Amino acid sequence: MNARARGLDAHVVVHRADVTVDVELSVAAGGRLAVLGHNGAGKSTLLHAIAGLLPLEGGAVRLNDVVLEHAGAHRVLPHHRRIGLLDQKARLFPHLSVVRNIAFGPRSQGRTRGESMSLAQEWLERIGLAHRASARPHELSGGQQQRVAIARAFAAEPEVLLLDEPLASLDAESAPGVRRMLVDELARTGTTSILVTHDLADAWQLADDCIVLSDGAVVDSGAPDQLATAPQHPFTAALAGFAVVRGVWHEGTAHVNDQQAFTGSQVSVSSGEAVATGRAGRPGDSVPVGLLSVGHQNLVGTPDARLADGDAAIAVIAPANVMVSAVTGEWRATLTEVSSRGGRVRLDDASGLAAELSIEDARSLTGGRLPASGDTVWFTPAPEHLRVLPVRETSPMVPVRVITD
Amino acid sequence: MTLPRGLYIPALVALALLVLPIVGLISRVRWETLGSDLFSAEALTALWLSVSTGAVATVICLVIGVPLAVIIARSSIRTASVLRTIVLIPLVLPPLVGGLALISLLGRSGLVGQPLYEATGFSLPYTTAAVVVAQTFVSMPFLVITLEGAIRTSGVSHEQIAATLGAGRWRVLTRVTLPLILPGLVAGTVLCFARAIGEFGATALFAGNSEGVTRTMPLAIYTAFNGVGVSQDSAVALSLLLLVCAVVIVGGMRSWREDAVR
Repeated sequence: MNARARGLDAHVVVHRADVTVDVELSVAAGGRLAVLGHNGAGKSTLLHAIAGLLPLEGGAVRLNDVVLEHAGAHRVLPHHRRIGLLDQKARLFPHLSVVRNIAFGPRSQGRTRGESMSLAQEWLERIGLAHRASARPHELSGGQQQRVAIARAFAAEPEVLLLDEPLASLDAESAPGVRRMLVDELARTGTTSILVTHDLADAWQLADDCIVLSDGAVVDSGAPDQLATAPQHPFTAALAGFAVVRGVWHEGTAHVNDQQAFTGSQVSVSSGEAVATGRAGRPGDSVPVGLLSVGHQNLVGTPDARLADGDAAIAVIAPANVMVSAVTGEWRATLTEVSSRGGRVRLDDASGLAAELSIEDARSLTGGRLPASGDTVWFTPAPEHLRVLPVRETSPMVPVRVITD
Repeated sequence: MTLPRGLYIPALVALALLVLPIVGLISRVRWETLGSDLFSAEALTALWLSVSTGAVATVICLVIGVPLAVIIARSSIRTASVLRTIVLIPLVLPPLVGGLALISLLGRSGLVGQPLYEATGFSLPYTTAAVVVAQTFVSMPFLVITLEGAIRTSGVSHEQIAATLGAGRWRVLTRVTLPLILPGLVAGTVLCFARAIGEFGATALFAGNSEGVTRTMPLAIYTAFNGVGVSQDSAVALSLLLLVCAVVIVGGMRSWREDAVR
């Protein structure tokens, strides 16, 4: 853990529901970190541990260089940590009016009733709900409830605000306004924040830095832009809209006897052997090849030091970098899903490979109509954009020999 | 979906078994003397004794039962299961056995009663306090079980949010946990009071049947049919009063819960 004068440093080790969370993170004062990951990856558990709602089994949490918790030795109770939590549900206290909900934090921290109520009233004006001060939470819309919850969290003046998918339960109409409010208030108050989300769009607006959790461990990290353009983990890739294909990695050497480009359609894997039947490079060259085999088809990559023959691997590519043809290509794709958005059509194959093209191109591909599920087309991923990533689980080693005709 | 017709006959029999005895009771009421029967000195004494001891027992149940319910609701599954079983025992125990158990503990030769008597000369059985103890013993499970379910159902999310807003444990309990389960608290309290004023078996054995001291309404009704104390007409009138209380309590609880949901 880095020593840091201001901000939050945490090394959280907690076992919960078959997942051991073991995560180190550091957020500078006023910094905004996003935690991404699939369901059950341990994101909420991480937040609860930092808030003190779950005791640490290992590690420590330090805020502004004050130790809030040292596993098994020292533990500051949640109400003394000045770490707020905003859930995906507003969780307003149903027995209190809206204004009393917001006044709850200041009042709990020892402010007088009058001070707390006037502070709450100020917050209600700021969020445009002053006229609903005496309403009960159930009389507000979902978006209004979440605004009140945000005001309540900020009114308690936390040093750190933990945001556990705060926009997840909002409809498309109210989510942007609430997101804007969060962005503005975090900037205005300079509150350090950690956002848990499934949505890279949220991370873009609400975080400067991201970590990606899988099975309780950090598997990817970087700025939101970096994750969106060069994801290092399949979950991050899928979040960023990349096509993600799982398969088995084979490596070998192809001996070239012609100048024709070497493509995956000319390679087959049979009885544990990768057999290159095509020709690549200059005549007489020996070309190292890496193939991601999925069933009877292959994607061609470049050899990767992180991968060995027989390893389970994942290829990621942006669908815009996959060419589509009705007659020929590297990958025979049977479409399972066709979706259009913003003038583009995305074609998904059962393997996970996907291509994206304009509506006009999509129509011309299938003789005037839009492609549909069940159609067969040919995908050709641009090799320079295809990236192959190792996965943790490795399949048994398969001896691979690459030969040429 | 249409139900099988065969269900209706046993259901009607069940309903008749529940309703007809009440109809029978009402048919025995002498409406022309109802006022004087209810307001006879013996009846009023029994009524006051029932209400006052029932109220005290309910307050005791609240003071010691609410903490127990909170602890059970927030215990591990195994601990909660053990504690819940213990709490349920008086509910399923025949009340007379409960009375016997109380005598064995608090009677003049009981486990605690004997040293208490020897030290202070005070003996609990056959006193008004004994009525309260018997009522508390039999009615506490109603409060604890109702409340425990309500606390468990309400979950811990609001409490956790309150803690992160800076609320200490007592403040969370008094400003969040208990207000959130207010409908359950009211329901449990009403059930507890209803059970207390209707208590008969444990009271009869542990507190006896002394007019003005331990003869509550149920005991007065029982005594009347043995030809002592209040008249049989007064007994029927008191029964009617208990019946009206029961209807008001059940109806009131329903409307409270519906209000709470809104």
